[in-house]
Amino acid sequence: MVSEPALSEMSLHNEIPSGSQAQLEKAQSDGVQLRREVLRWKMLARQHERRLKEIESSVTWRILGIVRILPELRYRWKLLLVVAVLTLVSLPFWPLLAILLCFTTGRDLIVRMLWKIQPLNGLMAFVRQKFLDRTGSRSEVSEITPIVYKRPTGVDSPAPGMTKERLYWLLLQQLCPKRRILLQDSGLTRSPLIRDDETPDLLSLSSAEISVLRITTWSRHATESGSVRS
Amino acid sequence: MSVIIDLGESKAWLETSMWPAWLNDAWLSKNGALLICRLTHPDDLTGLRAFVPNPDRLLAYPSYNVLQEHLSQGDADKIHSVFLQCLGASHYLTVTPDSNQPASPTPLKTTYKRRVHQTQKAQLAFVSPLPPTASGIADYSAEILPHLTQHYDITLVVTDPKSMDVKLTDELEVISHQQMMQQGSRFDRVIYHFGNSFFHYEYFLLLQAHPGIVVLHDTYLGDCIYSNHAQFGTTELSQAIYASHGWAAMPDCHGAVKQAVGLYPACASVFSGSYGVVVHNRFAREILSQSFTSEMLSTLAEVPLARKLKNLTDRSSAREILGIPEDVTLYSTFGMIHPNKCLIELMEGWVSSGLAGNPSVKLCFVGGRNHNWEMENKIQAWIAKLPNPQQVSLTGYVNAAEYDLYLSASDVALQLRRNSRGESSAALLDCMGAGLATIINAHGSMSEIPDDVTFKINDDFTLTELAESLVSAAGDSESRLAVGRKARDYVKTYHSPEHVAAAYVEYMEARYEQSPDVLIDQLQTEVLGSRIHDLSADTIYSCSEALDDLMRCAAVRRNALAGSQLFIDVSALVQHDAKQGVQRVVRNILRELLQDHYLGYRVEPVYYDFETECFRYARTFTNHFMGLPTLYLSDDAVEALPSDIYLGLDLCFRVAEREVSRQWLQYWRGRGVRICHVVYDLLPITLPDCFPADTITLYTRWLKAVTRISDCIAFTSQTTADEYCQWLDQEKIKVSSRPSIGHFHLGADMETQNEISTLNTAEQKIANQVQHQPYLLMVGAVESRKGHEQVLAAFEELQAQGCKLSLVIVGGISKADDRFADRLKRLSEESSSLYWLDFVSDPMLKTLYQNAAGTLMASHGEGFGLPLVEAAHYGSPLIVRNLPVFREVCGASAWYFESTDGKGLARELQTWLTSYHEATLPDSSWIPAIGWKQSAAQLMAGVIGQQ
Repeated sequence: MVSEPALSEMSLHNEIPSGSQAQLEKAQSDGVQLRREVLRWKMLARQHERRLKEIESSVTWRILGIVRILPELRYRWKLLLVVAVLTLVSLPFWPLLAILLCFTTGRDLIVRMLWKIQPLNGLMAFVRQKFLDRTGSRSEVSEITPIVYKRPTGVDSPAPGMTKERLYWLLLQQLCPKRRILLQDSGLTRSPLIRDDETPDLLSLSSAEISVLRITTWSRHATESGSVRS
Repeated sequence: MSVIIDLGESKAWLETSMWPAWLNDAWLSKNGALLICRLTHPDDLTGLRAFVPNPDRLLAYPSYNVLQEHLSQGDADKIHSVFLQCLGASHYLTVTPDSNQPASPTPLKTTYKRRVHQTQKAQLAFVSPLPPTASGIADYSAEILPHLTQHYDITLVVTDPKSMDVKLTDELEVISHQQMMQQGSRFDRVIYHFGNSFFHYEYFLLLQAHPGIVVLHDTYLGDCIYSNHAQFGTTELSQAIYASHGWAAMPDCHGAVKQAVGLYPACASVFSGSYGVVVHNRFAREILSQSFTSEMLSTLAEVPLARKLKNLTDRSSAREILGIPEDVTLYSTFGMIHPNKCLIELMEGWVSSGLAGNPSVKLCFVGGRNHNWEMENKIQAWIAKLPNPQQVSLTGYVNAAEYDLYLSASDVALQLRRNSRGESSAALLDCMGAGLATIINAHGSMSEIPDDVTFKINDDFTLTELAESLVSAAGDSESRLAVGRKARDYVKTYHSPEHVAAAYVEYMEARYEQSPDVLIDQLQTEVLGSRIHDLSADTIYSCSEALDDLMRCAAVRRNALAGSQLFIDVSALVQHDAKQGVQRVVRNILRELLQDHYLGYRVEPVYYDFETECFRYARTFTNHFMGLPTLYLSDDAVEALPSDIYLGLDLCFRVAEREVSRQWLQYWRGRGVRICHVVYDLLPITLPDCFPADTITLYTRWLKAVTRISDCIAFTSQTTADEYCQWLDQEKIKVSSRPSIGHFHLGADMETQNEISTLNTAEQKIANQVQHQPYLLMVGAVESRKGHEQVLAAFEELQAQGCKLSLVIVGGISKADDRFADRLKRLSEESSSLYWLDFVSDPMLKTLYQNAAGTLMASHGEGFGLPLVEAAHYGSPLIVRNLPVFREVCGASAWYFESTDGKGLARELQTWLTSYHEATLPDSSWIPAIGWKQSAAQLMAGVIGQQ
């Protein structure tokens, strides 16, 4: 039907009625605004990418990564104690270690011995995990970072007196960024639905999202028409 | 009569182990019964399936703790009632383990009913562009609206209510899209008119929020989706194409947008989000059936395009106004100038027919050019070549009154088409409605028009056909007028707005009455929507997820992804590519599967997320694996329907072995998802000396779990399948509880993506170095079962004898003992005839195979022996241990050795070397090597085809 030359379609590109001129200009202006918005997002995305690359490549960032996890190490005080004791006990052997390190076979021997000490292994994995977490990776050996929309959980359970506006906003926060950005001007809520640090293109195809959207619009209407207690 | 036998909780049955004798397979078959049972524990399914007379009649569904925890008993009863209604049975019976007496099923009582509209007339939201919007759908909608008002209280939903036609706003309530989003729930019925232009872009979101009936005026919606490219670039289109057509379509989205838009309808979301879809003709249905399953299109209806008969001026007056003489026969073609209108063919036919030299005929192109300058120039060039150029004219854009004048003044209409995408031609109906004799070609929906109401020529008409048709239409005015009259009657009968509106009402009421989605939406919004004040948002989300999943067990809830799914588990590969044999198989099979839809299944790689404890779509991984630009699709939790298939292709023991992850597979199997696994070998069981004790324990636990939960297991060789059967006998697993068993062979070709790569400098240097004398090649991880130690001993023996033969070992250290690793490393450093290459690229491996004197496989056990077929593929002679699996793979095309020590092997290798120099070795090229495409097809034949 649309691609069919019904009469009114023929006017589409041939003549622009004078009354539509203003609309066209408005649409063009909106288009420019949108393009600017897209550019802004793209710039943000590029900045993030650059930052991630810096993290991956820069030694400073890695050192900072270690500094950042130092407070976490207090939960592993037993392990730290073992390391400290071992360090002290092994002090007389350090010259020997230094000599061993000068040779390939010696280095291999040390690495193999260290690898067999399970707690150290755990510590290494822990440190590595923390490093990779900084770069957004989900496991120490992962090569690709899965994109998963992580819905807000366990926060802001409805408190007595919470406004309806807040309740709808909380429900809509369960939706992926793309759906929220499309809903921003729908009038379902006045509050901003998306944050600057979110990827606006990210789409979830989960059926439950559609259900939550339907529940939100239904309860919004039901509450306003008085058929549901508030 | 179809009966639901409700067994209640699985626990009760497994505890008592009693089954009513009367409830046997014969009784179940006679009554068309379906057994339903709530799984107290996921692993109860295995016991239950062994227990019931016919597991195919069992539907086991999860307990959904989240629903039990947060909803009242009353709500739970409502949900159960809707679930039973969705199963579509007429009778119901509850049976407990102690129901010893045969009972009669009673008619199914529906305690939860569909909402009925409160007012006399149902409230209908009519979502469509309307005049003065410059859209054919707007005019169309305006024509049928008056006939729908008899049945509904209509509210019009448009982009901008202020710019609406006053006539419509006076009679009907008009609201904006934004108001619809807010108030949509107040309507009893919603109807959306979807077309492929930017006017309809916001309908996608409205449909998600307020589902209804969709009238699909165009089956292809790519242009509409892409119309918001200023905001989302091409991402949105790619996402829609993925949802509609799966990964197989994604490489086509890589290039020009026009290509993707033209190739794929991308309209799955209107099917998944609506209660029913209407198209205007059978051809549109055919187009959709090329992309979507018949199940998805089962509720699709065909309602003709409405076209009101116009009150036209009489022919003479029209001709007087237009300045066309009475005695001229006027041929007209109506519509925009477009390559799809076959206008050049029309000009050629015009010249061939001889009408070009006839002063009493005229041809008129009525319609604007719509940016088709090139097309118009071509037509002008044709006109210039005519003996009488004034005979043909182009009107350019005409307004409604002028358009009607041309309809009145014409004698013959020419409406030819090509490349139709399922649209119905409004211009054609205008011509027929005006009583014109119309020449059409049998293309697309025009082929459905009866032969006697138009002059119909073939779809791929020849110039002669067209020319003859032009002449005959002009020649006999009586038959021309008769055809015109029939055409007018046809339009009046089948395309009248009254007739079409009545068809809409009938369909809409039927869908709202029958569609399970209406009932589920009503239930979900009522039960959960009334709890938003006391349940947290994420609890509401979890409850919705559980409720949707329960309804998916009844196969009534549609996913956003079109079609039945074939889940390919890549849980290990997503985490880490160890680049060993199994990963090589997984990568290659997956690559082949992703290129196509196998027997109508959309291939979806999935993985188990150990953090959130659920299966997820591996979209990020697949996006990366296929080398596509980022699609920004979330790795959502998998949504499985009864018609889907799960294939555990990757070797990730933890998925089936752990109770938490296994429960998902049990839940899916309970609803009818076919669970299949690939088992690559049974080596930890057949060669326990080569594996650590904990690996053997883990492997055995995994194999037992896989046996319990699988419908089918595919092995990589017949030998492994036989070993598995022996193991089943040893474990005393009942024949009835065993999965079906099959096998497939692996592909011999290297990974496609690396085919064109060449060796780098370092690789070239090594390749040159190893070629200074004949060498034997060993490919595979260095571990005890691979027999490296024996080969090394034999090699040292040969070296001592002064034999000129090198050994090249390709493979990383895996499970080898430190002493052997040291020895291998030392020897490779000391000897100029031993090379140990930890990891090599595919091109390097290919070069090594091609130049090797022979490929040696000394392994004590293998599931298949992938290097053998690869080596044979590249022409390398084979020296292999005499094992049944190698006999199966290589047959008589390999040289077999029996020795179990180094010295013995050295002696046998000496014999082999003699044959090598005499060129009397078995020819490995006789091995029936298959490619990965065939390998994947063999696997799928077992998994999908159940062969």
